[in-house]
Amino acid sequence: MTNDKNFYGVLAEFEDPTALCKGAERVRDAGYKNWDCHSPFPVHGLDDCMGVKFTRLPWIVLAMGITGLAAGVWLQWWTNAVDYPYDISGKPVWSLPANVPVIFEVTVLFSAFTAFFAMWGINGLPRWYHPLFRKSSFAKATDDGFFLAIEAKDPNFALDRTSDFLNTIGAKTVEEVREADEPAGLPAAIKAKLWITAAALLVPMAMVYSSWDATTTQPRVHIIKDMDKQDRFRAQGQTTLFADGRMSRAQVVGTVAEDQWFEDSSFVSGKDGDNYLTKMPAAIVVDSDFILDGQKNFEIFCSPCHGAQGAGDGMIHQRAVTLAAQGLAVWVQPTNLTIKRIMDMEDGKLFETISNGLNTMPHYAAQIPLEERWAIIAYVRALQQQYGDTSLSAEELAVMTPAARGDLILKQQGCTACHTTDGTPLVGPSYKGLIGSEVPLISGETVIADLAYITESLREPLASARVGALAGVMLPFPQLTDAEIADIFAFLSTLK
Amino acid sequence: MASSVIPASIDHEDIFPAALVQGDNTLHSVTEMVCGVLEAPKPPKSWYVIFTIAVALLGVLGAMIVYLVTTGVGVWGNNQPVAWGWPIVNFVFWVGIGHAGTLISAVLFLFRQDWRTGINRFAEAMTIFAVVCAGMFPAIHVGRIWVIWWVFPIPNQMSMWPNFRSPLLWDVFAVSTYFSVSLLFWYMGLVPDLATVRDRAKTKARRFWYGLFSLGWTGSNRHWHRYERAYLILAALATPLVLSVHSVVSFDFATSQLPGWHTTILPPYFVAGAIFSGFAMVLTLSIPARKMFGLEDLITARHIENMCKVIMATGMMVGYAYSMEFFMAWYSGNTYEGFAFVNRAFGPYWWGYWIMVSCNVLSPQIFWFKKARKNLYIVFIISIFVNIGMWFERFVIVVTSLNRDFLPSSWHYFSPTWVDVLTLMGSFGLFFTLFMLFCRYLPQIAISEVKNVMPQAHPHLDNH
Repeated sequence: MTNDKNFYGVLAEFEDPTALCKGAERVRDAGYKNWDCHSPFPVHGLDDCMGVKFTRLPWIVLAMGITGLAAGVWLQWWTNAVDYPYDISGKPVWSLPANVPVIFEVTVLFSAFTAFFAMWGINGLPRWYHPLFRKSSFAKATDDGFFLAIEAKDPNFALDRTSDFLNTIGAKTVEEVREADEPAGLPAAIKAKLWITAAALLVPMAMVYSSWDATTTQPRVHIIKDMDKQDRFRAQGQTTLFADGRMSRAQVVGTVAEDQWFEDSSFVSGKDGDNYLTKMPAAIVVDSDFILDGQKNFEIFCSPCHGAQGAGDGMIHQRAVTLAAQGLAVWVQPTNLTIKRIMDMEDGKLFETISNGLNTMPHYAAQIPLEERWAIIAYVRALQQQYGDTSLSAEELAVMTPAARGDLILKQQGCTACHTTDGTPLVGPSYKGLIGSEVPLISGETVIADLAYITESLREPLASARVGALAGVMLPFPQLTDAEIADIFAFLSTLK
Repeated sequence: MASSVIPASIDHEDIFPAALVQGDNTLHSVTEMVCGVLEAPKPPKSWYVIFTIAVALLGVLGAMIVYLVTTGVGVWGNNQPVAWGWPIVNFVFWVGIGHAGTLISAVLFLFRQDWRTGINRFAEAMTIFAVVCAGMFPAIHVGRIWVIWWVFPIPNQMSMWPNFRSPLLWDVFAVSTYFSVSLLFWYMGLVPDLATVRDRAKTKARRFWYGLFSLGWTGSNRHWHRYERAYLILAALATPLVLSVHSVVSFDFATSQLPGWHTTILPPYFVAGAIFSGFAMVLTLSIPARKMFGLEDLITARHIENMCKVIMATGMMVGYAYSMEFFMAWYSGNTYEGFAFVNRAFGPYWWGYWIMVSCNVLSPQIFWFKKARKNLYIVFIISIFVNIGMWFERFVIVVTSLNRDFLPSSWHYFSPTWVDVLTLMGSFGLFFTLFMLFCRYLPQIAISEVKNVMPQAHPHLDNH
């Protein structure tokens, strides 16, 4: 009968804990190895009767407790002192007393989880099926029954002999236990569902993992807006709230902020009435310290674009030219500050340009204090003295051809920063072949480029902007006389 | 029946001076009594009444939380200078209640106080539900609850870690460790009892669910051996843990520089208060429950009396702490500390302070009389008083210390809003919903442990 591979063993029931203990002692002494007792509560003394060896569980818990302690120390040290150190009320980033509570908690957590899970693991649980469950009498093992089971795989086991033995040591009843003929297990349908569920659970994790390093051009999905996105008006934004559609509000006319009132208003505006100041305001004393102060600010704020010598060739310009050559940027060269046009410009106009910006140049009123703006102008004048155009006398000009004069004027006014003479387009169209050509205007008309057109382009560039031009980039040149424009026309006519 | 055979020669009174289980109970009748509660086709009518009220309050809690999260913490009365209002009061209140369970289970287990077996399951369940209620309050108090995971050291795209030097983070670790360990401890104790329910199950669903959670327990003695060792280890771990949790909660206050909070007495004082309030809550729950489910033989008058004694002892400890705080405020000579305590007892919240003293210090004094300890009505009423008093203790600590800060121009009389009130009531709904479900679907008494302390359980061997 013991050859039956489905035969599990025999199950004996005992009267009470005392009988079970006495029986267990006899089974132990008879040399059985694969056997166990089952009771509704731990019967004290039964361990000795059965000869159960003391469990190694405490040592496992100790080892994991020490691991937890180390983990607690390491976690806090690495996160707060190494990976992400930051100052909180001047506390040191690593000070053991402040870290003791968490070290303690982590130690307890590791130990407790180990005690719990290792206990079940060593016990071989969870195991929801057991051959003994097939005996209905075994249900009493969790109520008031005291059982002893010897397995058939025990080397000493022989059905008749073992059953008789159990009867002689005080068993109330002895039953034979067989495994089920069909192997126990979950039905295939449930198993399949569990696998599908488990696989489906991997999908979100895989999505999270795949998006960890991924880039996207779409904006972040804000499920909860927090403070990243707020329903509010932006200072430079549009609004329907005000008639002019602008969110920024200008100061009420006539108001002056407390710290912005000056007795000499030209010091603030650069203007005397409607006219630009032609020299520094009276309050300014230009001396070497003042110019050096201007140099310091010029080099901080101006030189990145205009260059250290004001030639309009700063670092940003050079970088932009490189990018523009690759088609990655559209770039208007910063004005050369040492050309005649700027040398002739009033101090007040320069001051207004620094304060409020011009064209692509931003305003610096917020960054540079009033007096230092004037100091910058003083330094620009110094640069112009050093590097500026040398003017020709009226006699010298008079003997030149009109075309040669026109060429000179274009350079003095800085026109060549945007327009070339060799056909290469820059920000503006090249001068080559311009005169006499047909120019399509943004107004829809087409005009022939003649003297009248050139005059209008210089006086009111916006009105005569051509299709494809960066309308509004070109400044008007009201300072040019008709004679000078005629000279320019003469020069342009030579460029076929 | 196994239990009917007890050698008459043994005088059990010598070994067990007072029976832990009353009445003429056998091992089987204990099983019947405990399992009968959850096997009954229908629970008692009173269960339905309490459960309905609890679920209604739970709904209120849900509504309050939705309102809070969608609107902001401004719906509460919290405002400068009392930025920690009722939410933190409620947190400390609930986490304090959550102390008795593990204390009864672990500390009394280590001290071999066998009388704990009747009430430990009860108390552990109560602990877990109370910690659930407690943990909720700081979580919703952060305002932006969707980033609450920032309090845990989870690797994230911001490369940001929590600040481990903050007592508030210690709190996160202490409370979550406490919750996890309590849950393991509770569940481990439940497994053999779930196996009992499984083996008695008549329906397929019961067999499946109780079978699933009893993990295939067979009552094997080799398993029991490791089980008992693991239980002892967990008890030994939970004992310092339970003391650490409320100490760490008290650090939230004690490590700040605020007069009224910045005192070294706070950790032991908080722990004593926690035990005090926890035992009161066990009494509040077990007195009606033992009646409702007919468990008087298992939760006996002796249990109740012992708990009354613990309440009286810990009540006097908190009373000592109250007076010592005043003594130190005066003895230190610190004007601000002195003011904080005079303000506490005689300031705008004088009524809160005196409610606290009457409920916590004076009312338990009645337990000097055995008659009072034996009278369930008195015990129940005092347990309610203690619950109220301990809530007020936290209110007094939080609000009176904050409402008059260093700058008299910002002094502010804190008043809760209706949302505060309904949220606190709702947390009781959460607690009682969980507790009523526990009473209905899980064994309320640790069956195997009770059997273990019954005289029938002990083998009488010649060599012992």
